[in-house]
Amino acid sequence: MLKYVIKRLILFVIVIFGVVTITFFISHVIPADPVGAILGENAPQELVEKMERQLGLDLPLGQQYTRYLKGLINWNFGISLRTQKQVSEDLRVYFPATMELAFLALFIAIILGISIGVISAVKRNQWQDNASRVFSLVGISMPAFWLGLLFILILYYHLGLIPAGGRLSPHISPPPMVSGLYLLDSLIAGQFRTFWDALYHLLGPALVLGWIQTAYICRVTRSSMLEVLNEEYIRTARVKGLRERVVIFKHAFRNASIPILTMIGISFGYMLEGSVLTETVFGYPGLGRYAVNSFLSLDLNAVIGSVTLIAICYALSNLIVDLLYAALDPRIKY
Amino acid sequence: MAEEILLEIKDLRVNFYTYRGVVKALNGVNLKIYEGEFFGLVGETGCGKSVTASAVLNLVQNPGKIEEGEILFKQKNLLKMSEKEIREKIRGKEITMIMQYPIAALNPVINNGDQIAEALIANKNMNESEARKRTIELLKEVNIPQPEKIARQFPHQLSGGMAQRVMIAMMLSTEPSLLIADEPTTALDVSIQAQVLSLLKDLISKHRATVLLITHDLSVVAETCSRVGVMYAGDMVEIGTVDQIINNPQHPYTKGLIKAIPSDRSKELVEIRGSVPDLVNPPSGCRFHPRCDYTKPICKKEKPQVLQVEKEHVTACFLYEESRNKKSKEEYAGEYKGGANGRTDSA
Repeated sequence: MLKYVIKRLILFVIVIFGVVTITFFISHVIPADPVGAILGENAPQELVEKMERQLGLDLPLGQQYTRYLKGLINWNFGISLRTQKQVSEDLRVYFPATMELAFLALFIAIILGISIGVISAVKRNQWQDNASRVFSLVGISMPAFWLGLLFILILYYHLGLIPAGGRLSPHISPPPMVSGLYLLDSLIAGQFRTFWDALYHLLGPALVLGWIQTAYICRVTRSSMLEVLNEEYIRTARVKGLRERVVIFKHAFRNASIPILTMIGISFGYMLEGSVLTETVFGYPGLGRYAVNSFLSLDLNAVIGSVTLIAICYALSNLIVDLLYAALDPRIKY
Repeated sequence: MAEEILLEIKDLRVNFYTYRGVVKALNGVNLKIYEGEFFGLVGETGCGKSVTASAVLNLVQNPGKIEEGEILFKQKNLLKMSEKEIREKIRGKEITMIMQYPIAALNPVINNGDQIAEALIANKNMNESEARKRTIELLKEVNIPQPEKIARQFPHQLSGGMAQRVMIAMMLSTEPSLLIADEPTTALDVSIQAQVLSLLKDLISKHRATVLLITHDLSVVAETCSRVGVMYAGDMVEIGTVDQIINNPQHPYTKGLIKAIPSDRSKELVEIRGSVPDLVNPPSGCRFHPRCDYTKPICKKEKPQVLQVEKEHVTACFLYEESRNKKSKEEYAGEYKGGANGRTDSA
């Protein structure tokens, strides 16, 4: 087990190295001119050269790369051209916002996806199953930005159930920073009004992100449960005279959970990726929107920082999923 | 017979509604099992043996449906019971079942001991520690070495024979009146088969349970059972004691099965020609007629009636009807000549 974890951690480092290398080279070979973007097209030559020297853009690519790697080890991505702050500092503000959103959406997706999927499998081909198919088909087919726009139009504009954007209402100040997650920090500080306000602001984007992933988790749960419910040991459980609830949850669900867990791991990755669109649509100040704005203003340091962070989260979530397999199924040994 | 009837199946019909059409899996099966006996049910794959067993527990799987018939267990019709009633009073308590593939029949993510203990907790009102203690005793009873260790292990760590012992321990743990053994030895090594069968026999006599043994292996039946039912394509073609069936088979299918048992290495294997019919469109009349060597015109038209051969011995075949009629005619002729008191076959 320990050996496996160590092996996976080494692989993890290799994956991250690959990701940062690829992002670095892609962002440096694209025919874009960050200095021009900052200073404007008609800036005097001396100013451009001074800026390039300042940013290290005058160095050969190889040297830039080693400088970049050295910085990375100290979690230093340089200065964001757009916000004029250390990228790592920006990440510290925006990343928890996205995590908060992703966790809430994942929570919604797991609870809804699994319960709808199980009902769907147990009530196969009955109206519950058909209803869940429609629900998940909508979730899978709708692009996140379109679903987001619909939510804003209906829930905000017509019904006024969700706020227009942001993490908190203007008159409420953020809770003291501990984890950066407003929900958690406000609870730690005992500020329940802040907690509810933060939750209220998270609801729209979390529902959009959650619905899409609910759909995927629900489909996987359904098919996995259907397969398991045909197994001989389910028959054995029924022959033993166990109640149907015990048969389904104790005997079937645990056996069906491995593909579901895989899907949840993938879902978490999609949440980080999907946050780019959802956060932009909802005006939610998270890592996704930060990354998009950095792309648009050719703020390469910020782009690399965001991508690296998301890649680390993705790889970590996969590692956790792999380790959980062994806990769920005694046949899996590392 | 003086013995009490434990289970009686009357005219049981089961259909499976598939995309290809309706599979008429059971075509009016009749069967009586006496208390304390070892009843064997033999027939080829797909003849309806396992469906009969599932029907007894009301666990016929979709798209199967019990169309009509009665299943009387201790004089109560199981088919009239609600799902809840059958679950609370019958399954696990009165009737249990062991299956063909023991490793597949055990839940891979729950350890062996807990799976047995679960049956005890659900059916015997035991608490967890009592159930665990009893589990170890049960594992000892089925001759499992190091029962504590095996109880902590998972099904994939067991051999087939061991897993079947765990299944037997689990299914006998609640002291059921009837144990259905659905091909319990088919998936095991030959050397293990005999061990498991003799263990099953010992335990059954100890627990005073009744067994419905489903198998396609007549030699297993000959070794263990007191009475046998022979099924063919959803019909019960012959029922009798082991002695009657082996030594005096009446139905051509039973005769064929007995001939097909390999006996002498130098001889070629005998087989019943043809193969099991498609039960979406079963043959008309007697379902065996396309494969029978003695088919008569009537076999294609009518379903043969069940006829008494001897006490406990019944068969459903026109051939027997005819030979019996001939015999009684001869006897009648003899009586006429000799003028002795009339003695006719008691049909």
